[in-house]
Amino acid sequence: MIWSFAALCAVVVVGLEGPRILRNAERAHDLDPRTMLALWTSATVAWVLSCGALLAVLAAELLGPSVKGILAACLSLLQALERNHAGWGIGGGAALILAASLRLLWIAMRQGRAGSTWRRAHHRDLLATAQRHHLHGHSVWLLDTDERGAYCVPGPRGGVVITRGALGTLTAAQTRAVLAHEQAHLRGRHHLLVGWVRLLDRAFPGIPLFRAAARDVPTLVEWAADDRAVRDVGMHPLVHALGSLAQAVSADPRQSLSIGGACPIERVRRQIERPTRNRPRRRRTWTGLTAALVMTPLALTVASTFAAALIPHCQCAG
Amino acid sequence: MIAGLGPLEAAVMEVLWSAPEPLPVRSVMEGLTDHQVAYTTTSTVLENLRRKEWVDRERIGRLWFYRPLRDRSTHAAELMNEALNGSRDSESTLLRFVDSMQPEDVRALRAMLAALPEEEGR
Repeated sequence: MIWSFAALCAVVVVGLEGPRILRNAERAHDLDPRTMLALWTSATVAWVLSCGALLAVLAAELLGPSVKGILAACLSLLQALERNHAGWGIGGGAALILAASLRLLWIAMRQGRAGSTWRRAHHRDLLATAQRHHLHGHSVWLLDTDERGAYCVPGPRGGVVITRGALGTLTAAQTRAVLAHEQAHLRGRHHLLVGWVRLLDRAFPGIPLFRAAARDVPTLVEWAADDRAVRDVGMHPLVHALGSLAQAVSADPRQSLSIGGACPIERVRRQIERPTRNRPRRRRTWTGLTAALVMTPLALTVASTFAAALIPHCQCAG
Repeated sequence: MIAGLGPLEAAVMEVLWSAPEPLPVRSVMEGLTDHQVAYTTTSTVLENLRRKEWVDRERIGRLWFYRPLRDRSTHAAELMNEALNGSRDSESTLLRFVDSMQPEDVRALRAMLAALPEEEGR
């Protein structure tokens, strides 16, 4: 029971304080965006897994002496509640987890279906309107308009979309920087990371860890893609491409500042004022430490599972 | 929301876009070199496009002449803006190179870049 209690505490602490731990590590120790993306993703995945496992374990501890109890708890929850009044709280918690899992699944399905429907429709529009072109070794969709723009659509039928207007303003090196940036998004499957944290925030609004992840991860994927482009093409082409393609919001009321993404000024400043990176060992230590901290709930949950499985339930009681 | 185009509709629009003046149904049909379509099919597609407000027609003599209502570039811009500013579905799917900003932020960004050389000095 003590393990479960410790795991529960860890879940609460990381759920509330996780964002501060992660952001502190990023700021104080200059962790790069890719490391931070890995940390945010593992923190959220570990948190979700621990929550689910923890309640199953608690239910098993009260309702049955072995891991079989987990199954028993799920299948005969009502029966158990009748037998054991102490099970009310656990029963309520288990029902909550079940409801939460169903909600997560439902929203994931809806988000996934809406996304793929949109991608299919957009691909059809691109086929009808854009032309396939080869630019600096990349295959792109070229949109024949004077407006400047570049974006990428993930998926098997996706790719990088760029307008003739954008190509008209960018130099060859800047174009390469834009393409490298978008390719980094596609290769890194950044849409999945952004989709995952937005899904969690949408399914469970109000949990600080998810709220913070949904705010930070979209920025971090832009930074990671910027860093990739800088490694491939250099800093100046990238920042000038940002300057050339940055546009003010128009008076069109449909067009709004996108909530996600990173502030372009911040992106440019990050590249220009890039600090000289030193003390790699210290950075590695802090990465390891932060990872350990955000993974604590999962570690303790695993420990409590073993404890529940190994220590016979009846002996504790009697 | 712009009504999307099917493959044949897109091909018809291509023919109309590349023509300097309005075309009668028969010329559109003859312009569809990649598709084997009957006169009536072409006529139906053109009427569908007129319903979707992609084309307009006028009568000259005994024939209807069709002309595109929006040009290719306007359509391409609409398509992109729809993708970038459209729905929550696209928001969680596509990643744009640079977000739109407030006008004063754009000025600040350009001012910051003015001092930097265009290309790498290496």
